[in-house]
Amino acid sequence: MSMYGWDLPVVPGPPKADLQFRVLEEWLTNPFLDDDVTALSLRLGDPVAVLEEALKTLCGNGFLRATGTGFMLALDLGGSLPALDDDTQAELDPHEKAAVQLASLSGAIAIDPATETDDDGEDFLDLLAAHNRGAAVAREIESAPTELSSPTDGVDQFQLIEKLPFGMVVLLPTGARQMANRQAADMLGVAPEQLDGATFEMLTGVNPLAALETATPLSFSLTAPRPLEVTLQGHRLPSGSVILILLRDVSLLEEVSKIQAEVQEELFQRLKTDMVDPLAMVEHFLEAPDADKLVQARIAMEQINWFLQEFFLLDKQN
Amino acid sequence: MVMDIRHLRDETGHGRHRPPEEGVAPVAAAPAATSEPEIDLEELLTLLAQGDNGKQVQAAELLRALVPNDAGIDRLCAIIEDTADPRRVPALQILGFHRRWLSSHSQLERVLVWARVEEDPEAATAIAWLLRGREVLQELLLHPVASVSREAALGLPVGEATLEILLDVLLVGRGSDIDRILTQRLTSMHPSLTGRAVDHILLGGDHVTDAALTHVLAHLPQQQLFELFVEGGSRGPWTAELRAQDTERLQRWHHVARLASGTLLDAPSGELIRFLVNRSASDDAFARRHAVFVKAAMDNTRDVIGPEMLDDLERLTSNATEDRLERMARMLMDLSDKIAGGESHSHVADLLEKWKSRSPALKLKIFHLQQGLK
Repeated sequence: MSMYGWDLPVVPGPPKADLQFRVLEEWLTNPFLDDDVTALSLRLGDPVAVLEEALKTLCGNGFLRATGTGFMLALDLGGSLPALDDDTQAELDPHEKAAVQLASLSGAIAIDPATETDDDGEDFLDLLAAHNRGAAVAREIESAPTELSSPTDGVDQFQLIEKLPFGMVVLLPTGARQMANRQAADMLGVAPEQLDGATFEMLTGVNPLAALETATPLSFSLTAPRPLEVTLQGHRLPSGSVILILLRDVSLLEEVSKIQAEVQEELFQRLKTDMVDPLAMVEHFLEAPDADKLVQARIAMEQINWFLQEFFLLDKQN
Repeated sequence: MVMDIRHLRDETGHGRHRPPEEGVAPVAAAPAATSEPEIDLEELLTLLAQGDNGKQVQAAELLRALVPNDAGIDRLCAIIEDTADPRRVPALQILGFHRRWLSSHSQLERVLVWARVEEDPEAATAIAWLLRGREVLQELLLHPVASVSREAALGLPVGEATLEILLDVLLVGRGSDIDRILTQRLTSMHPSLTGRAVDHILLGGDHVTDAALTHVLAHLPQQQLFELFVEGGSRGPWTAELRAQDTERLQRWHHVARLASGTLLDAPSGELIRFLVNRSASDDAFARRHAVFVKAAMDNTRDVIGPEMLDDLERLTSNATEDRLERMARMLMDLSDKIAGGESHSHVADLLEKWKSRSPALKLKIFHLQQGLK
């Protein structure tokens, strides 16, 4: 162990006797060791929390003594034998403990009346209560979807139309507004009450009544007040003819196109600087293979690969 | 023998009434302890080295409490330099515990001489422990005795002067225990030293294995590693007129960059994710250039992201354009399950609602994101 030849009448016991022994061995090798818990963690490779527990046990059993930030050997190196029963209890997790206590209540395991306390009964009730709470939560979760999926009566169709993720306008053949949602008014930049056939024509330059004369839908795009895709279609319903106008915000698509354009510009800019020269070098090498230029050609290929990975997202493993 | 008992505590009175050994200089006691009997250092040292358990412990306790004066230091040094004296290791450990005397350059040189010529493994280990916190320990990192090398690794301060030898030992491999200690020391390195570490790694020879390189790269500060390798901060400028050494350097850089990128994506830390999210939210070109990397890093991270990232995003909201807000929303939703804190989910929802109110278009986009349509 060390040059000191310590003769320990008692060795550290559970829990984690091995770790306790390794900790103690450090002080038996060097009684002047001034490691704190963090330094000891670095020395032994065990987590600080585990070591704190081991040191506490070693101090409690009289092997070590805390001194300021560090520790030193205690005067009573013999220490004291830790109570095995206590450790066994300590190692049990709450569920195992509950199981043991349950078994003891049922008579399967006898608990020494001398060590049994009223607190044990309370702890057991707490554990059972915790278990019951868990079961109750599980039942609550199971019942939740049933409640959520229960039908609701009387859905307001106008509210439903307001929630549509696109603009919708329904016009009568006279151009009067039959129905419209706020999305459509917002997209066209007018107040909802102003939205009729005439306003639509003023804003878009397209007469909506023309849709009644064609069998196929009319579609066109707008760039102002925002990028929109507009579709008009006439429908002959039993109650009369209507013109259905759908407006879709395509600003996202516009943005994607814009980003693509920017990426292209950046790509071409980088192509000029990072690809042309390395490719020229590779081409030069291929035209006149020369061992001296081989390494340069390879690094040029590395440069090209790097560029491709960055822009074309090649699999880097390949 | 001379001892200064100014630090002798009242409660540590064991063995205090020992008479001084004949022929040894008496203690030069402090005024507070003038009435106490004099204590002999050598006697305590002998008890510690050769006594029985109880006396050894008492002697150790007293020797920890008493601070040797100059004459006492000289006596201990003499014992250490006498290779036949069985009390050399305890003497070294006492000198290692009371280290104020080591502030003198000449004394440090004296210890270095011991370190270089010491043949006894236990004494050499005690010398390495004595020198803990000193840069000179780098000389002992590759010591043939493993316990000396281990003690040097434990005591080595990590700084500019010692970083290179630390990396070299890690890259070569000195045994699992020492590698573990050095790896932990490397992790505690100040992030400002990362550039220096990378420069040294790039100078490394062919004998270094990819596994060792990956191991070292995995323990360097990730944000700096990203800037140096994925952003290309440590890559030299491309030139069509490459010299042989430029070619080798670039080749090496590409190789290490691939490994670094792999280690970053393998286990990205919460701090790296926070950095990437902040940069992506504030820099359009960065977000475009590293979109795939950021996405992969966010998917791969096993760390819990601190709730402070939500504060960052909230701060970045002011003056942010709609496309930035959309990007932030996308990242936020990708990370929402990994953000720590009980109230983080409601905070995320609040933030998204706040962004939605910026414009109908943004509201629609975020709605689509929430519905998983994008």
